[in-house]
Amino acid sequence: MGKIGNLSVQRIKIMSKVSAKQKVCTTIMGVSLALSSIGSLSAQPLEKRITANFALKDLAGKEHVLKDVRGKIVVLIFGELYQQNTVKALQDMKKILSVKQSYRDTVEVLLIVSEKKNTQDYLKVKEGLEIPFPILLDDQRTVYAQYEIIALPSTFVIDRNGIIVAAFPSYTIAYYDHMDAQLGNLLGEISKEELESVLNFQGASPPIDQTGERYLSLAEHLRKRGWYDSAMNAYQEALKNDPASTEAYLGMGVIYLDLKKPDKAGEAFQFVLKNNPDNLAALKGMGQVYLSRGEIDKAESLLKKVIAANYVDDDIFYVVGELYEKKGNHKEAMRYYKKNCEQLLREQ
Amino acid sequence: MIDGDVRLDEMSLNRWKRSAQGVLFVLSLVFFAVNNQLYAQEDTSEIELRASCVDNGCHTKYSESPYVHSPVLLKTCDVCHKTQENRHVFTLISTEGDLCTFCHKMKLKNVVHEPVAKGECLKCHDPHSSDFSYLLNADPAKKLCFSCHEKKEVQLDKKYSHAPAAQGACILCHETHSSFNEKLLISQGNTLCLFCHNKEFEQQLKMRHLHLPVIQNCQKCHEPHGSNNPMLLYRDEPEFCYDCHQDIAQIIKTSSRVHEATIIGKSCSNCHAAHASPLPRLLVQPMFDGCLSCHDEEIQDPDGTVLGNIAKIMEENPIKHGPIQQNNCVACHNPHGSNIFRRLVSYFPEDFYAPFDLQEYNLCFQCHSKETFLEERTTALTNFRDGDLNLHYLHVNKEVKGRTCRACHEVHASKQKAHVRAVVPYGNWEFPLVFQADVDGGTCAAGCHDEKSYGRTYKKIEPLQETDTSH
Repeated sequence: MGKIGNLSVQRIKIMSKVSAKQKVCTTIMGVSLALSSIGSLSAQPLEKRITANFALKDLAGKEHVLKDVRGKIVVLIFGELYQQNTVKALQDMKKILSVKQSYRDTVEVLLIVSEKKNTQDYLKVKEGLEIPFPILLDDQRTVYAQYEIIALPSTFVIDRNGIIVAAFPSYTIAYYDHMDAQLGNLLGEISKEELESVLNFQGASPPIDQTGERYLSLAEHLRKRGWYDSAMNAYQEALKNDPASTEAYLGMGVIYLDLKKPDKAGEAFQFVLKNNPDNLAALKGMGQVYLSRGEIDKAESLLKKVIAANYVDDDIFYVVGELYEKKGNHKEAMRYYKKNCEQLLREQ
Repeated sequence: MIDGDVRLDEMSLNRWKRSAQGVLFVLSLVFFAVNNQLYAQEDTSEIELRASCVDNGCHTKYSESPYVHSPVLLKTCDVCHKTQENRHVFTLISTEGDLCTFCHKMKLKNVVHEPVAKGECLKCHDPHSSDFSYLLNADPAKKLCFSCHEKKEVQLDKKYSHAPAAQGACILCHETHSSFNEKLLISQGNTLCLFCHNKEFEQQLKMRHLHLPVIQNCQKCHEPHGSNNPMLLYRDEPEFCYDCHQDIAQIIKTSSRVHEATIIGKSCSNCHAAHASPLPRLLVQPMFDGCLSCHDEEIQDPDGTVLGNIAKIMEENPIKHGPIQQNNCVACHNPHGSNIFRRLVSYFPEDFYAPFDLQEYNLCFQCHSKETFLEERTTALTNFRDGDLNLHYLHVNKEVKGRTCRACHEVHASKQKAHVRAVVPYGNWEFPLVFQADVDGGTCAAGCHDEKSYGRTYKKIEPLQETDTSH
């Protein structure tokens, strides 16, 4: 995004002294523009300025007045249909609007051309390129002068209040991204920070060693498939990279539980809880350990805490069902077993 | 490692426990009936299966392994074995496959591992006991599969290997019995790869721009087992990239001026990320930064041309050309190669003078209106005019000795407004060019002509006559 230029009242006065043919319209323009851009003498960039109104006719002769679309987001594209970059910009806009209904409903795109051409020629090209946007003719280049166009295409994004929020001179390979982000921001779909990260991406962070992460993924994958020996090896490898890895200890704890080794499982879960006493997965694991040792009260205290925190994993409901079964509360046990079945069905 | 675990399938264990009670009863009757007589003739004559097959120093090793088949553990050998004529010769009570599936019912999917289909369970499993889980004949994460599949067969004789394959941990990606996927894969497409590589791709997959194979199938680019190319690519860069990106290959292979960055070092990866990027064209860094990572010093082209230090030009000249402000070097330069000098994307006069021809200025007309150079009189096309006399037209639009853009304008950045040069290059000489802009126009003093002023305020004037046509 860049500053297109500065508009001065002086220039408008100069413009009003042109040939007789242009004199009338330019004077009207000049006055309106002068009024609208008094502040621009201080080299204010086009962005953040309130747009000057204009009225231009489209190829069918229908007049389009900018202020009539106030309340909508407007994208003005100044360009020529013979020009590749203008066509690329139009295709990008078409693609952006086709992807999101929210954009189609609230965004008005207008193409403003200035070349003195036969209307039929324009219509032919418009149809050939399947451009769905109105094409407005500015063969006197008055609106071009208003918006200080020196590069084609030049694109302006105007918010619902008629303020130019962004100006894109020319076409770049980032046109799609930048336009999409600008519109997304205006429609409240992305934050200002996200917009900024698209407009001014500063480069990716340097790569970090992910060996540990890879072993963890591997171990989880093996554990879920029942290859416990291999999973244990992978967890051990992960621990070499991060000796305090919560995920590794949790995974090992789960395997030990499955292998009916509650003491070893308990050691693993306690290690996690030592560093993070509120870790729900570890609390649940310890609950299972107590359950397998027959220490029902201890198990109940932990598992109730876990359930109260809305913790959900593959088998939490089954474990709580088991707890209630062991307590002799078959009604509650059935309720949790059913919940477990429902969860399994949902996952399938 | 888990040491000393006895892994039993609980369901089959229960089943065996039930049947074992009956069998043990029968065996005990047999035991009492034949008693010591059989003991004495254990390896020579009549014998019957009994509880003591794995006791008393005969087949004890079976029960000593970490993983023991439950019939062995329960000493119910006759579940699988029978004697021949009561001799110490044993046969299976059924064929191998039928014997196993009598207890181990399997619901097979459409792609079945060959030994499973043939009922050759013992190719992978030990029927009695094992040091490995699931009674496997070898460590499933190390060399079990290599007992049938030769390393060469699975590309493991290559320079680079996928770690799981090299270790023989085939189970990470392949099902052991059957699968819904080809090659017994446990999943399809890149889902399979993400089982292990999910953490490293978590962020990348959220990026705006993803390389198509990343969302389709990693195997479009990577060998799953082994390759002679780094990153397990099927072929090395850049040829490998050309397989799909043929248009780019064409430019690089046929351009008279190839961008060296495309063929040296990491070639395509010098500028592009292989998987994902927040930037269009999968650039690894913002375009301008990427270009300056090399063009921060003078570079000699293969044809001897010295390309300027762009970083220095940027540092010393505050007024930047639009594409540079927009991080868009490719607006003018083809990043892969071109047949036009400086690898331009379109025609641009190389010299100080050129007869006016629209085609020759195609590069500039990508963004700037060609009308500016076609209309002698204007009040709207340009601010470089004296009244309505278009001074751009005056300088450029000449049949002979038209001044080209570069005669007056810098292409990257300048100290003077409107990208006006500080010096005009003319052969080996450089004339100073002093341009002063004011509200209504400006003054230009160059080696080309005496100081001249212009003003946009309308005044009836005659077309300017050139005062100096000596060059």
